[in-house]
Amino acid sequence: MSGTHRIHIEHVSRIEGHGSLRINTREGAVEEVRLEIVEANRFFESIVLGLPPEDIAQTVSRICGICCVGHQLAALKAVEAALGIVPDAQTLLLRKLLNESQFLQSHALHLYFLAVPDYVGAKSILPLAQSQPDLVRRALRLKKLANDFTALIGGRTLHPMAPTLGGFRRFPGRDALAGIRRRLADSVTETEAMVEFVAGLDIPQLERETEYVSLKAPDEYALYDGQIYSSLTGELVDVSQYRTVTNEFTVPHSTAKWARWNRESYMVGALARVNNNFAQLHPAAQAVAERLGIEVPCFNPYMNNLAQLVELVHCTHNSLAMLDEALDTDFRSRSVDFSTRAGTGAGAVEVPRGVLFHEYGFDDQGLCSSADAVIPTSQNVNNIEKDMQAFVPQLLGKVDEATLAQRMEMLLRAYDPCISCSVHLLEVEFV
Amino acid sequence: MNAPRVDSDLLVIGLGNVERGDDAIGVRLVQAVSARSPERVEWREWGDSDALSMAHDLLEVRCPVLVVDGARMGARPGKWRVFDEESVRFARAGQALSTHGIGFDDALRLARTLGFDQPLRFFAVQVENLAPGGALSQALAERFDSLTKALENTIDAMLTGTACER
Repeated sequence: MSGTHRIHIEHVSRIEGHGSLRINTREGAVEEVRLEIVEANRFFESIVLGLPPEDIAQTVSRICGICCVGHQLAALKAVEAALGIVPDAQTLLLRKLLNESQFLQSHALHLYFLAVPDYVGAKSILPLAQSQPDLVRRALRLKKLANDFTALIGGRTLHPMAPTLGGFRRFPGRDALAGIRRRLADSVTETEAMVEFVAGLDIPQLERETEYVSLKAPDEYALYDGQIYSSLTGELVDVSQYRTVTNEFTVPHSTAKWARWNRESYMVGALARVNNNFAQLHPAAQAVAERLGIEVPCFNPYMNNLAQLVELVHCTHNSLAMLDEALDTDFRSRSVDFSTRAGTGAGAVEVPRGVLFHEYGFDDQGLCSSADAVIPTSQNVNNIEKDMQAFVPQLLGKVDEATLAQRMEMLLRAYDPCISCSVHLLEVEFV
Repeated sequence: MNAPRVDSDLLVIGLGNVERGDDAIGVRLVQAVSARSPERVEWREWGDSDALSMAHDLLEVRCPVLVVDGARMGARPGKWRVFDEESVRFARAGQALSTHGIGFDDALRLARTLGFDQPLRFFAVQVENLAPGGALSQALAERFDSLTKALENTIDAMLTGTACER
């Protein structure tokens, strides 16, 4: 186990999008640890310029096939803020259901298919299916259930068509709602089995305190709405002021912008939310956190995977309660009138990987004149690299080069990065 | 939403993106043939299904499967072939870096690993144009009726040569 390593992993697998790791050490000293984001620019913020308000959400949904619901909801909230549209109670209920269906989809996908293989010595889902077939079958059933849940509320699994400004274009039928509720209730025992499996995983014990940023709401575990909260200062910031939080900046080795707030970097995502809003988790989710050894505040970023499982349990139970409410609701369509006017509005939702911000401006003709989307992974990449810079020295001399590289890949995957989404940079300067 | 369980004598699945030129051929053929199909055949259009959902649904299938899809197989555009999965190598299988990139070939491997044991054949059509938003290429459009007939004949042959395992 020499202290000299030249590690360059091009295109780390089992993450969404393209990122590379470069780790150079010499005789026990770290020379360079870099997370290189090499994804091509996406230009969505330019694509929407000139579009009318009603076309924005469907267009930006295409930023991501996994967080398409989140992009839609953040965009709808931002456009509604700009135009003064206030959604009614039934719309909020359906949006929250839709959002949590996406959490179930995404957390199941990441936890079972992308993260767990690392912990059982499998390179991908296929060898995992050979060694843990029951686990993978459970995962497929949960993913399918979550897909169907999204399709029921949103009209289809990918890029749902039902949500629109101020309301929904169609409503789910009562029988279908009851069917999803039944399947979701049945999934509880399967999730419990996953908890027992995950509780037995050997999670790397590396800690680095950072600033945890999430939405925070007074009356619920904030996933759809809230103010921006810092674990470091306890400060609450209105979503319209999100730029004072994200403070985006560029670095030469990343096509994604980086972010920082009250210290050199901050973390968003499941662990940040669990740390910041633990008391508002469903009691069953709190019990799972205890079973998994999560004590808040938790400073181990690898535990983000376990926090995702905690949220999976929370969203299951919370969705069951919301489905009961939906079954008691007589959904009625209503017309949403809005006038063309100039203005700017910002919206935020929590998506599986962290808080997502959208902002749109409209000119006197009511057409989009400015757009900004700040994605969770672009907020996290700075913190991921800081974690790596802290952990590599701790591992030098204790593990071989292959293990060191694997631990850093696992760390990157623990954040569940969606690098494709994170790249929205238009003004890069390479040096 | 597709009902996952299939207990017919044959399941025919159309694959492909209908907004991407000749990639639509699998779904278009299934749409054309399913309208006049025997009751013993069940149909699915998996135009926008993700690979993990495909794997899940394959595990629920209890009868032989025919997958209708466009393919790059070194033939002239519009040429069709029927083959078993054992007789070909899927060039992209296992190459995906993320779940954005996995396709039916990976879904089939996953389902096979987890116990999907029904016979599966492909009805494949050589594609020419996969441009986004485009219609079928002239070569495929001109052959569409003959492709429809060929698919019907293939289905008839599978129905007479296979029995459903219930």
